[in-house]
Amino acid sequence: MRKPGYPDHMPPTGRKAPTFFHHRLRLLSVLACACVGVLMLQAVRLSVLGADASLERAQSRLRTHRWLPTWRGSIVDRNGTVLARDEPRWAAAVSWDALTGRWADDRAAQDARAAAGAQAWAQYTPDERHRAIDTARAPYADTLEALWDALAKAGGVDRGALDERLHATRGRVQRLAAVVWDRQRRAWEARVGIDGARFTARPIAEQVQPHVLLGDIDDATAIDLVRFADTHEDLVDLQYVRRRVTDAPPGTVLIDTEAMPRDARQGTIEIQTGQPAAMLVGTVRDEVWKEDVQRRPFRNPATGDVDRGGYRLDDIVGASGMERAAEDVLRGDVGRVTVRRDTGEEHREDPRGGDDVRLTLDAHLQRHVEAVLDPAAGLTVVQPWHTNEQLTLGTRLPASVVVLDVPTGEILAMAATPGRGELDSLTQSDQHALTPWLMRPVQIRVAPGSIVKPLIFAAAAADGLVSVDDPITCNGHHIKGHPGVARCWTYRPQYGMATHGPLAAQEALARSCNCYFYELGERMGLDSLAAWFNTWGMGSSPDIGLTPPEGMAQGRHVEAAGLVPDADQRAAIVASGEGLYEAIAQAIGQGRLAWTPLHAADAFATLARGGRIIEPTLVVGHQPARTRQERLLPQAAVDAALAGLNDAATQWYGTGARIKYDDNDREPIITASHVKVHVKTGTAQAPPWVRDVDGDAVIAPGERVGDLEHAWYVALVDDDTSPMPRYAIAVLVEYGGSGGRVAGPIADQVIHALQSTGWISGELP
Amino acid sequence: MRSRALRRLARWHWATPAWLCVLAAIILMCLGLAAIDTVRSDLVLRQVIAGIVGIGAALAAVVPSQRQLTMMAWPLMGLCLLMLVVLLLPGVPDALVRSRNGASRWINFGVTEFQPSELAKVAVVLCIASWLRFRRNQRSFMGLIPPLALALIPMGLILVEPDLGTALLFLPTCFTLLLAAGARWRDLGKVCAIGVVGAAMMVPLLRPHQVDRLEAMWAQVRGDTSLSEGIGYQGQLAMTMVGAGGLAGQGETQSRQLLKWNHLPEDHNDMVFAVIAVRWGLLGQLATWGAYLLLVAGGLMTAAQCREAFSRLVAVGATAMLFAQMMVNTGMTIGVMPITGMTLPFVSAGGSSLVAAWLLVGLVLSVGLRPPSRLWREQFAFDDGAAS
Repeated sequence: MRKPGYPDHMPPTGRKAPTFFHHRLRLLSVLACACVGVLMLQAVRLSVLGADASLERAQSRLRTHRWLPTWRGSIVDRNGTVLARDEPRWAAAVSWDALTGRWADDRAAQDARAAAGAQAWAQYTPDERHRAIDTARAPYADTLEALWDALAKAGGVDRGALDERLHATRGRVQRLAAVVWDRQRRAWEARVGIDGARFTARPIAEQVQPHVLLGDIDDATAIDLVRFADTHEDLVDLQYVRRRVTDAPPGTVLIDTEAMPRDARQGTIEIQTGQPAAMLVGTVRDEVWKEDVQRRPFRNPATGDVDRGGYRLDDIVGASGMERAAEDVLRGDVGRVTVRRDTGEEHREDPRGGDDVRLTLDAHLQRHVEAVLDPAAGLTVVQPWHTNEQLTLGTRLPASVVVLDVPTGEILAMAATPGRGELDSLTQSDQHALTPWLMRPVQIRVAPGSIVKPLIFAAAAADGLVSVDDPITCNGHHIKGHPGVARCWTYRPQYGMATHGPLAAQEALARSCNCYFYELGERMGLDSLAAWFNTWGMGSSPDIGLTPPEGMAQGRHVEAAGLVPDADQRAAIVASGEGLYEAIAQAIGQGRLAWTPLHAADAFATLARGGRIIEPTLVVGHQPARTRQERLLPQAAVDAALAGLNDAATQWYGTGARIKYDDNDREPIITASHVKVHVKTGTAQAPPWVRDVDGDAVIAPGERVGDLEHAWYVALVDDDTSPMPRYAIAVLVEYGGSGGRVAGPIADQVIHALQSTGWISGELP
Repeated sequence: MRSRALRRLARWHWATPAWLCVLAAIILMCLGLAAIDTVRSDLVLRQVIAGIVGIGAALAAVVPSQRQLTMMAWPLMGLCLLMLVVLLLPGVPDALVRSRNGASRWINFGVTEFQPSELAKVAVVLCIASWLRFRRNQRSFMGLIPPLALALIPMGLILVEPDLGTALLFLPTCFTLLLAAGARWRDLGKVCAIGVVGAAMMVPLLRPHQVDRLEAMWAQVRGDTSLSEGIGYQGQLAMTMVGAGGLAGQGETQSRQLLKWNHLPEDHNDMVFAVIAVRWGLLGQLATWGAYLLLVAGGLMTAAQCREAFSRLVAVGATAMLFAQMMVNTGMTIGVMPITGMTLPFVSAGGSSLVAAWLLVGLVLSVGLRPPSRLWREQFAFDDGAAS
């Protein structure tokens, strides 16, 4: 529609009325202003609202940092004996030009050119230049030869070995460069879309930086190399590095085997032991993983903030054991020298070394216990007195020992065989059967067997279900009319179908009468049993300080929890009609139960303390995260239980008192004198032991050994003047058989070790 | 003869708003010299010389009449297309066309290097203005196709160089010219819709680095800093530098240090606006945009006072080209547009860019100074409901 006053053509004179074109220009003006307005809004946002943060980011580039190395804390035992520490060392790094010989070529070329003069040099033919350079090269080549000789001497290797190392380094870098250049070329072609002929390969970082040829040089040797480092800075660089070392050297422990069962007696023997508690102390790795950087980045990717304790590529990280668990404590903060690029002003922040970690272990006792477990001592291989009919004599048995200080819950020794250090010396089939990589005292879970009986009695007494003097009659089996079910261990043909008759708690414990505890199990019921097992700590992970920090994926379950049926599982058992049988089975440590040697030692220590819970710990000052409901026990019940356990070790009928040989000769298990011991044996059913004896990776019928049992022996011990037990010792020999016969002598040797190291009847270390 | 020339000069409209464009250009050039001096003082003298050459080019652009300009438009476009094709021809010696960072944009003339795409900006403005001057068919959709083709042909060649930033200037300029020439909104809307679809279809043809830049800008918009150390590094750093300037800037000494140690890429060239922001802060940015608005005002007022179609469109097109270039450059610096290789007219170091910008100002000045011919007819006076 035509608008009045707007003709097709503008009037030629006079003041012009706005035309269509002028309206469009106005519109363009408004659009331009709007566009600039948008830019202004963003500018205000950046320059006003975000100004401070941006300025800080920009100014941070004015500062350059130089990092000062830190050191990792030491791991020491309770007496301050160093188990692992950082040691300053030196590394000799050689420049890439020296490695390739280009250093000599470049200098020779410079000399030749200087000698000839620039004009004459320009007139030289290529051959003449080569000849001149070759002539000038001799002194520089001699310098390189002298360097290689000095390095070979410092490294204690001959020139041939060093030359091989040089060759390998050169080859590695050249292969790496080829890969990097190929990748760069392809990326370049993809990016700019033209053929790679114009791609220029630049030296990769490894062709610029020096390469470490000798990585572990002591001070004295380093001084010999300083001459080169000072006169030829472009040839060799002595770098300060740190190495993780274990201070306690391999040692010898004397063991008097005369105290052992007769087949093992061979006088006093020397047992060579390695680094004590090597598996507990653990190892470090010199490579940083993604999870480390994610857990604690050196530079926060979001904010750019630097955490001086964060991880950088060349850091050392705990890989196993306490090195891993105490990573955040052992780790230090690097120092920082901040230099303002514009003013040259320096600000120094000193490095902070990592804190030491003090273990509750006694390295001396630990070494003794490890010696006792050494197969050379004869107690962890199948012996005649074991009466093990399934395994051949001399078969190696995995075993674990925990020694706990009852009043404090501190772990004094914790050892196992085979150790991780034996990994390389074992055949593959032995590795499979013996699983040397496991930290057995806290990771091997087996049924507790009869060692739970004193705990069951104390719990039933606390619940008022039995009194100290209440007799319970053992008829050989628990369920009337079913003599083949829930039998006492004596109610078997080899024992003449014997029964214990009426027994009170003390004797029932000493004789380890199953029927007495079947009855207690029935009275308690599954729920009460489960509650008490959880009070004893069976159902949870102990948290002694071996669990890695949050964010470390490996080793999360290094401290295993035991097995106790939860409410749903118990309901299912009851619903299946097996409630009674499960309850009486659990009362003798069978059924759906499992725990580790550490659980066993802790439970017995709790019993000795009258039910008072003190969480076990391996690290001084560690606060365990586990919480348990404490249920104090009647003192009369505790006394009766301890009396029964003492009888078990000392009375003729005690299950932990004597070893009976095939010729009916008998010897005491506990041979240590001047000690008062309370022991409980346990012989727990074990699954078939799969052993690929011939190593053919096929499990033949004969290689799946059934009808084996795990041997438990738990002792509470102190010198004979002590009113209450001071140390709890738990011994587990997997697939060993009888607890008293197999594990008992090991516990006896541990008691000897406690005496010889001054923990019993001596001056405490 | 001489008196005739003087008489002709006397008839010129010396009191023209085109001088605003000249004033704005001088202000921006001075600002640019100070900014370049902050980061690359060794380039100042070269920039001054380029500025003098540019002013000379602007004066030279004033000399030909509108009719002569109309006649020159098509040969100039031909020359530009020829040079753009030479850039892309395989086998051209490196001495003549040397690739930098995978882009072939410069022809080496011995004494200096020259970007044909800069001259193409002038040529496209002249050609579209020349095409539209006596036409009315831009009021139809089909009538938009020839002027769009005039923009798209050089744009395509420049895209292949590749120089996405410069290529992107041609569309808004062409759009502005069509708008000023009276194109209907609905037709322009159709063009836009086709453009959007076409752009979407072009995405797979983009080079990886161009896709990277789009991704980096999208990440910036979302506040995602994960790309700030990679493909978004330059954009993130530019925004940091803009923010670091604060309200009033960091002063000369501190600015030099900040810019030196932050290693902002192309700080003397494509990222010169960040230098202005660091040194003079938000006030410096506002002053820069104020100068460009002054230039736009001068250009549009010149067009408004003009009666001839060709002159009107030349003034609008030249202004639009400079304004679009400013928008892309400052937009990418402050993080609202993707990073492209784009100079800031009159401010960035670089002879081709500066001379081309002055040429465009010269065209506006030429339009403003010259009286209308005696025979003229009103153009672009359509009835479209108050031009809306």
